[in-house]
Amino acid sequence: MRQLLDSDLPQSQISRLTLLLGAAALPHFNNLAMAVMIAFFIMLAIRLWLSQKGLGMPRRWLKVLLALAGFAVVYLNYGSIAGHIAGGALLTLMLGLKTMELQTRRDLYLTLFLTYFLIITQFLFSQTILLTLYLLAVVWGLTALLVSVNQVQRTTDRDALRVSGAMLLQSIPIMAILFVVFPRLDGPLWSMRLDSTAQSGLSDQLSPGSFDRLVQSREIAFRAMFDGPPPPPEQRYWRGPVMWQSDGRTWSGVQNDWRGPPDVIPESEPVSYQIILEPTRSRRLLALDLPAGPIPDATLTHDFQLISHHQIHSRKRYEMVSHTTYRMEDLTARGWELGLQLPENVTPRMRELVAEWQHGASDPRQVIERALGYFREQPFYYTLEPPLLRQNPTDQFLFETRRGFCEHYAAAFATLMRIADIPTRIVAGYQGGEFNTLGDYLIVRQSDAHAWTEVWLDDQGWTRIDPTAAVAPSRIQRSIDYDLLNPGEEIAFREGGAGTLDFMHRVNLLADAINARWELWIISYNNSSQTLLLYNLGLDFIKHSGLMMLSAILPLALLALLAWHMARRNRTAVDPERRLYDRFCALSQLRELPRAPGEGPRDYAQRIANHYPDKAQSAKRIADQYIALRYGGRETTQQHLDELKQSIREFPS
Amino acid sequence: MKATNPITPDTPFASLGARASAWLRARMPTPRLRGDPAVLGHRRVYILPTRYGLVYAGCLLLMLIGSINYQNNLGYMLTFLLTGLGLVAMVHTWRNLLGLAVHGGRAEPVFVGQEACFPLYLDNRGKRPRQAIRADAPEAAGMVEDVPANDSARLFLHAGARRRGVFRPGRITLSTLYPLGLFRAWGYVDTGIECLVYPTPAPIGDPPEQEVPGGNESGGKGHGVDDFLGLRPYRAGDSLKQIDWKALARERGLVSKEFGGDQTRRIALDWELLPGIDTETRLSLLCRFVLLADSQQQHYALKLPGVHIAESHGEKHKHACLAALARF
Repeated sequence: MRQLLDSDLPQSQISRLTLLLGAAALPHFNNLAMAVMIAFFIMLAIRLWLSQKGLGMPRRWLKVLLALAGFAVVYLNYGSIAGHIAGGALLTLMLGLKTMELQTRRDLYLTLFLTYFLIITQFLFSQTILLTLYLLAVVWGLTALLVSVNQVQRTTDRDALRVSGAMLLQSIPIMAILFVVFPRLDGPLWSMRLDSTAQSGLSDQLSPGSFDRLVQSREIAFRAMFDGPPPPPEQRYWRGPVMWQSDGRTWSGVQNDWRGPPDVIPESEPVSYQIILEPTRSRRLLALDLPAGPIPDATLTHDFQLISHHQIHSRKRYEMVSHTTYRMEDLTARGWELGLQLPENVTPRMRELVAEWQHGASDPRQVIERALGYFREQPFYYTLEPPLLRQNPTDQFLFETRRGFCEHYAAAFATLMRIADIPTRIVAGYQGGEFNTLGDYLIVRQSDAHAWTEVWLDDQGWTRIDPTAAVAPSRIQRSIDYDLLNPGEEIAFREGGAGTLDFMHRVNLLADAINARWELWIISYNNSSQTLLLYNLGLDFIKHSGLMMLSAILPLALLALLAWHMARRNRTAVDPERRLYDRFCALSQLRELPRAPGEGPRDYAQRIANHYPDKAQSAKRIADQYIALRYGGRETTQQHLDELKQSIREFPS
Repeated sequence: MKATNPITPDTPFASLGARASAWLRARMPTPRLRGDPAVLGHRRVYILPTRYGLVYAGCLLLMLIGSINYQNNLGYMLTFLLTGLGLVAMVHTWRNLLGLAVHGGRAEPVFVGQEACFPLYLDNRGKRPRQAIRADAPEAAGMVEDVPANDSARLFLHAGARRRGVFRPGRITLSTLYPLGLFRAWGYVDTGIECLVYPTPAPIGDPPEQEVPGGNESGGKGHGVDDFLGLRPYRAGDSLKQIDWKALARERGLVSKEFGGDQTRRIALDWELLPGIDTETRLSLLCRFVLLADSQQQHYALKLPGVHIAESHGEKHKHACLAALARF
């Protein structure tokens, strides 16, 4: 056995493994340093070339040198050899090196198993459907290779692919069951953080230009699925950070005082929805304005920010309820104080402007109306590339440049309202989103990032005022059309209505709809979805240990089913005439003259006749009867079978 | 077909396996008659992971830990898919052997020192082909063969015949690693295959030193010998009755006596004519004489203590005589 197992492999199989390894590593071009990938593929190319030429393996010292070089390349690129990126790079390089000594069956098995490892590292970087399907194909190829090294006669590749494909299909139910019932933990076994890349998403501070990068990004921030109809576009304000304090240039939040949010009196039906949030590497969660309450592992702050207890390193799915119209009472003393704080660089012309609005106004609402009217009537422009603002951005923006993006309008408006003694705060978040009718959910992108203000009205509480809407009402109705976004020019907005969507956009929406299901059902399946699923099935009495047991029992039950099915197909489905003929061949009279495998009944009868002339007649009769029954095409009747049985019984001894 | 060495099974529980096999042997059904197929039923197919299977399981465990730690659902999926694959492979390996019918064929007799060759028929009555079925016997080199669906295949076990007599290679182990090599399924069958091993024919030695001719009347039992001329080294084609048996018995090799007259075509090969030498040498000499007589198409009889084969000739007679020598 040892000799068979450790025997050298044919070059064709070594080449196949090398190619499959290359295919498994290919997506790492997106993830690993170019130097690593190039070195890896050069090693594979050398291996293939050596196989082609039938040359020997590189010498030992060369391999040691290459291994050291591999470590060096990884260390120089990442400054470490641990962590999932550097570790993946190291594994890739070492596998490339391993092909250099690929010779025996043992090497093949080892390399093949490590290639499975390499495949699993791909999922740490990307989890798209396409990548999954691609890697599934690679797994298929690897399994087919395993089948072919265990075949005696090297049959066609198609044969090995068919066998391994059937086996993979048979293992899918086991995979599905394990995926659903294998108990999921809340947190990692030990801290093994994914190496963080640049932070994306909203920042907790607001200053001129803080939205530039976001608005130009087509990346998806989150997806929202509503239980009922989605709220109209002008109500789609997704609440993020809330800013209270201004130093005249930058607005920032305040520490949570650990008092919960004030009571809210809803004035409309609650909106229930789910959010699938892309990883932000921060603890910020988004919710439709105004969130009604916290979710299990997050806190709702006094200013209605939803803050998770953990950093969001992978996609997070959560269910929320919000009120789009509401009322609240009683602002705390601290709320008054914070809401009226003014920076030192308030200029006299700002005060004059406010005094003008306050003149003859009995109600804060009138002041607000006049302020919005000012933005609407004066030549303000909504643009992504405003002129640079230096010492006093608010003053400069209000009276000189008058070109800006949402953060300029929000900051200016908030400052002016505070001058008018109206408590005001700035809220950042997202506004709008594209409704995917194919998947029935809302896609909110980074380009939907927005900032607005909230003012305190005594009879209503915190009330949303969006000064940007006064300048560019279409911003609130529609999304920015990033395809038409030209820096320095006025911003174009996407024309609404599904009828005008071009074909490619529809394809994109369909792909995103499929992706969203993938996210919802596969990628974001976790402890809470598992609990929810069990609850919905009425199986919520099953705890972790029960799930563990199910994970062992259910696959084995499936396996038993498979074994039963295969054993049944294995069993002789022998026709009665064949059974009779077999009985004839096993007669003791013919012990000295056994039927050779594959010998036809007629040939066998002839051989019997040659050997035992006295039995020639009977043998021929039996052969004829058997052939007539088996191949004659006529109906097999009991009578014919009995005749054959009779002939066999009468076979001379 | 591929020849391999008969080494212990590739399972990691070799010593455990040895103890288990003793227990299993006790459970084995009684040996069947020759020609009767032995069928590997589900109670007679055993299965254990191979070394590679254990390494595979270790890899899966590491992948599972990684998936748990990174909370990566696609990692879970791949791990579970490969877990399923391993389990499915186990069933496939088991299935590959299950229900296989085996019967031994007739092995052609050989001489000691030659290689005995036992034909083994593997009969697949199922609807699926069975691939890479391996047969081993304690004293025979293993072979691997495919068995197509609803068909049979033949393979040969080869073993060096070291002793005269009936050679039984022992209980046959049928095993398979197909399809992934992660599991090994095996079963034992006793097909009762055997091979008759004839004694080694004595070598035709070098000519002895010049020797003074001995008494000519003892030079053989051939009738109608005319004049004894003397001794000379044996030459191919010399008649058996010309051989100086006494010289042979004194281990001087084959020496022919030269006669001047006609030769008859009848000889009796008698055990008693080779006194004073050990049994095996006697048998091997007789074996050589049988072969010589047969090659010269002479009629000969064979007399052994308790066995007498009447004078005859031909292939059948030769084998009858050799068989008598083998079984002596």
